[in-house]
Amino acid sequence: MFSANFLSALRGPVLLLTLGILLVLSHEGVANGRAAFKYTWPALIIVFGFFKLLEAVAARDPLAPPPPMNPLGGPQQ
Amino acid sequence: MKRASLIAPLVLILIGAIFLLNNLRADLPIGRLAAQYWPWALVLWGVIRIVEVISWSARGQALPRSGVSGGEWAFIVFLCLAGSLFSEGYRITKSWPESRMFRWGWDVLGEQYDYPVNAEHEAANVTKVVVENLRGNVRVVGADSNQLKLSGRKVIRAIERSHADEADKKTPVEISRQGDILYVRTSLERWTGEERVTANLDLSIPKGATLECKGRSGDFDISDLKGSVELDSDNSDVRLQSIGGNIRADIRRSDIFRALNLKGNLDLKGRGRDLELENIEGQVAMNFPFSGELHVKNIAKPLRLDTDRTEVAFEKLPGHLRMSLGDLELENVQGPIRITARSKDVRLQDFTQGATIQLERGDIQIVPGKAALSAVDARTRSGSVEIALPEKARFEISATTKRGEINNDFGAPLKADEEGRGGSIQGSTGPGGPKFTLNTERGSLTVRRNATVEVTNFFPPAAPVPAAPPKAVLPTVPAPPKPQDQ
Repeated sequence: MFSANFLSALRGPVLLLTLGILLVLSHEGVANGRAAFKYTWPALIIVFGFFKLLEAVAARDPLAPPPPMNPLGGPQQ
Repeated sequence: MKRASLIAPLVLILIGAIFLLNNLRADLPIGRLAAQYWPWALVLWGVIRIVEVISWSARGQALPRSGVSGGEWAFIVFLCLAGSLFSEGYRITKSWPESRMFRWGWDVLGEQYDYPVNAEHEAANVTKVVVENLRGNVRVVGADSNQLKLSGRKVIRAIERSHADEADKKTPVEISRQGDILYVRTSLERWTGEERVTANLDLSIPKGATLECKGRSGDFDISDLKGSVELDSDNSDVRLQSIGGNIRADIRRSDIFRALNLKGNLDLKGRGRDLELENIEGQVAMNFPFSGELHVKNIAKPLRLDTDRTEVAFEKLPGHLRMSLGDLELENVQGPIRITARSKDVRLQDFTQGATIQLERGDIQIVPGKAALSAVDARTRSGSVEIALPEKARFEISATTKRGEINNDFGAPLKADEEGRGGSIQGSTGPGGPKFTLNTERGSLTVRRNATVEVTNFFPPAAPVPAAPPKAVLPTVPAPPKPQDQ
């Protein structure tokens, strides 16, 4: 299972990749314009939510190693 | 170990490569490719960053908190906006050639190419010349000759010379004869391309022929013809001089219509700004709303003017008429005169055969002057009415105002009564005189002796600019010093 840190680091690039794919589909006029960005943008929210969900599950997973803590108590950068 | 991203160097390499390609390979449609494929840059960026994150994680390096920093997101938003604008702009420019904007752009940006037009045609026994020129000025002069001579030039605005040449070939100027009618056609309507073709023609035609000119835009300048003239255009300035026959003109829009020394009738329809008519021996009928000024001088026969809100009619005008949006001045005119207007100040001077004036709003000033007195019926709903009469004139008057002061210079023979807010002037100075009926609902009423009339000149003649007078030395109060203008 992936750690919450890893999933958090992956969230941005995957969102970017999704944005790129949606724009490509929109630009190419796929499905007679039904794939225009003005229709497909909610997919970004779904991807974002999906990653947040995975991160939450990973944080509760007892098998996953806890994130390294910094001296002040927050997660280490 | 410090992690290093490949994105920034790759972006730099990509931008450099695009500019380099654009410089080295002008044939490559870099702009079109960029406008079409820029979203792939985001896909590529996302894939690279995913690979990087996996790689950093595998090597135990510290991972970025969210994978893409705030600065990177800002750049991505900027990229999306710029890319969308670029794509949309490219899409619009692709449809430019069909658009009116593009045609206008050609007019402004394109090159002008001139092609001379010269032709001659035998015109013996020709009774009529028809000129069909869609766009361009037409100048026609009558000559004592049996030849039609055509000169001028065709002006074509185009991006390239080859386009202009093609437009020139497709729009030949043709002269053809059918019976006793001679046709001059510029064929501009045949050209369907985007290049704008205009033909400016100078024609010399037999003096006795009648002339018919049709066009959409372009000015007409016609002179020295004995025959009649017909003009039909959407947008033209017109100058007519020394025409023997009748003139019929339908000009839907005109900045100036000038007619001088016409022997026949003038029938004018349309709409325009300024009009000047002088020395016309025939009747004048104008259904021509105008926004500027009308100057008419020396009309030998009846004139009928009909605009949206004003109607003027009289029988002869040895003097002049001047009319603008708010004023009408008639001087030395033979009636019966009829003036109907919605909002206009009217001044009528030196007239015969009576006058009827009806205004919704506006002042009326009547000065019969030196001519024999004739009956006047003048009414306005809002405005003053003033009549100035010779001291020993014989006349009968019936004047009323519902609200306004009354002034009577003639004294006892006339009876002035004030009633409520208004009043009336009634009476007669002697038998056999004409009757003046003056009526206003709101405004003053004045009957003056001629000597005391202060004539208001609505259209003062343009005085020459006087030389600057020498500065008078006057005792002045010292003014505080002011900073000088730079």
